[in-house]
Amino acid sequence: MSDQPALELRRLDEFRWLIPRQGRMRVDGLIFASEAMMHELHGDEAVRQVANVACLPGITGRSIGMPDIHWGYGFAIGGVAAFDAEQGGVVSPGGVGYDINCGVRLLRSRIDATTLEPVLPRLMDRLLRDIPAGVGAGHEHFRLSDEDVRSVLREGAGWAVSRGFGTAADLEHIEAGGRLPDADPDAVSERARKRGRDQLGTVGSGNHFIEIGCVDQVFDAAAADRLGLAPGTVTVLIHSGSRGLGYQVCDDSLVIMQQAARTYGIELPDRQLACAPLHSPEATHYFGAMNAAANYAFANRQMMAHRVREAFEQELRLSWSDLGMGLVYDVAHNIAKWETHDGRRLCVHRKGATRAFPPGHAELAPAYRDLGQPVLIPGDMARYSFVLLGTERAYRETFGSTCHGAGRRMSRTKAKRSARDRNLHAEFRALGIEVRASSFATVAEEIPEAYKDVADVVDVVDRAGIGRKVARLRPLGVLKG
Amino acid sequence: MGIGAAGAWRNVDKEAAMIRPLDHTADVGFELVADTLEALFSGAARGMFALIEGVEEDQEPQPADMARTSIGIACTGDDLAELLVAWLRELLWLHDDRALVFRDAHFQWLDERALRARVELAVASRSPVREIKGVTYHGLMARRSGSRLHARIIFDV
Repeated sequence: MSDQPALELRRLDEFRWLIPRQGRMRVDGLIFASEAMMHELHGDEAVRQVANVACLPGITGRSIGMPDIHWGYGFAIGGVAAFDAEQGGVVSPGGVGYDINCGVRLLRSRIDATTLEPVLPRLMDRLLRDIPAGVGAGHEHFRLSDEDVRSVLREGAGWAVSRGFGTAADLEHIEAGGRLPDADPDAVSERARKRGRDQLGTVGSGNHFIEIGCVDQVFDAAAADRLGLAPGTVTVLIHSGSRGLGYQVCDDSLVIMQQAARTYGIELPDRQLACAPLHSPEATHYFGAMNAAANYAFANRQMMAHRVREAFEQELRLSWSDLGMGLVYDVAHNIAKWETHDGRRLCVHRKGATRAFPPGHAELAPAYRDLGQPVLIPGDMARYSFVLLGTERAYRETFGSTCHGAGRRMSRTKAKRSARDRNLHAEFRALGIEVRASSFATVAEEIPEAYKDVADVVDVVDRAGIGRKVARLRPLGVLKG
Repeated sequence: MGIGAAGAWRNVDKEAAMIRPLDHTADVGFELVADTLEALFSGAARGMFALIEGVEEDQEPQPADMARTSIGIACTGDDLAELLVAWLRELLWLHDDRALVFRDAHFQWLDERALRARVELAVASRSPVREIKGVTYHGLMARRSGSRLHARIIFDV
């Protein structure tokens, strides 16, 4: 799509590739990738997008691409960039994305995977029935008032816990305690709030899912033990975000930011990078709305985790606490946050990237402060997902960030074409995976080969030192939209 | 009416708008050419709802709509591209809020910065297959090229 000259790219070491400052770039770009990944990225718009972000005012350090990087809109997916308000830095909704606080939550258990096997089909049927999933799916009988939506936007996961959907202990295992400060429900439009009324506790479609899995490999036994991830035990991964409410917040903000970019004379290499100076009223408005949408997403995953626990209780006839279904962690993949790095307050954008703070960081939950932040990296529907920990090197080199998933390598159109005339149900069953979906059109777009092998992605971050492998999870059952 | 396979141009509108899907890694989008603004705008709407309803490559006749309604829409933009995005955003909102899908448009006013139209929308008998999160500005283009109009739009899905 780009008709600009090819970018100069320089290899720094086995896994780091520099895009030296060129053209209108204000800082260098840096991509973490293996040689094979870089070969696949050759000529891809994602590399150009890392360079485009480097052109934005007030960017500091480097514009970063993770090994799961792929062509997004505005920012690449798998992109990290930090901005300094004192240097004219900006906030850009395109650096967060439409699905604000799309993220992942991991539950552990004491259930042996072999004991779950006989009831797994029934459990998956129950999840499909009890948790709305699919395009625009909402609840038929659970609709919030506008005042309730405003409370969710202010209180985040705590709102769900206060109404019996989980426990206070859950909140201690969520990024920021499941509630971002400075959320402003008045900055969220009526349209957005309306879209949020019946979608709290729903999966959505696309790459969102609920996955029942098990711990099938442990790389760091002591850390896995601290996280309660014993080999062979059942786990639950929940991947979703702020649903229609978040999409609308992004949509509304982009219109405001188009105007703001003109008002403040910001030259944009891509209109989707529309932004406003961090000290401007437009930025304050966006932060208020974005933090509110992020809180909605924390509450959304909290509600779904509660429904999952209830489903396990029904099928296994034991309470979820007896089953040991505690929360390991819940972390955002799409967010912009104020953080302190090298003594400076910076606005760090992570779009398809995970915060990965090292041991000792003050913002970590007390339970993990000596361990480092758990990082949850889902893979595709058939292979595996990973649990990592944040590292000091990530803090120094990537503003405390690492990858977020496998990264797409095939367009949805190609994936659908590849899935045509195949019996996907049978294929997954042959792999020992029970798949339930509101529409198999979604499953066709999400076939495993549409994604990179997440093991390759995680291998790069582990060997580059911006994440540390703890355990691998294998899927047993997947609920898709 | 589907929008076809990536790379191939085909008619999408009775007023001879031509559409070509883009093969984007993570998202979906298309390019359009048309002779008139009316054909460009109604063709873009048809293209977006073909993605939502999953009829890109499905040549089967679509089941009859359950009901139809007509709604007035007015939008503005600082240029043609922004107006096109504003138009599609309004239609997407009507879809998200009321589950309505686009069927036709009658433009009462349409220039490169403003439009007023009466749109015919339907309650489709078939569930949508794809969620469009937003009409993005990424790679957005809408301009006159000789006697024709050319546009490119990418959606977040």
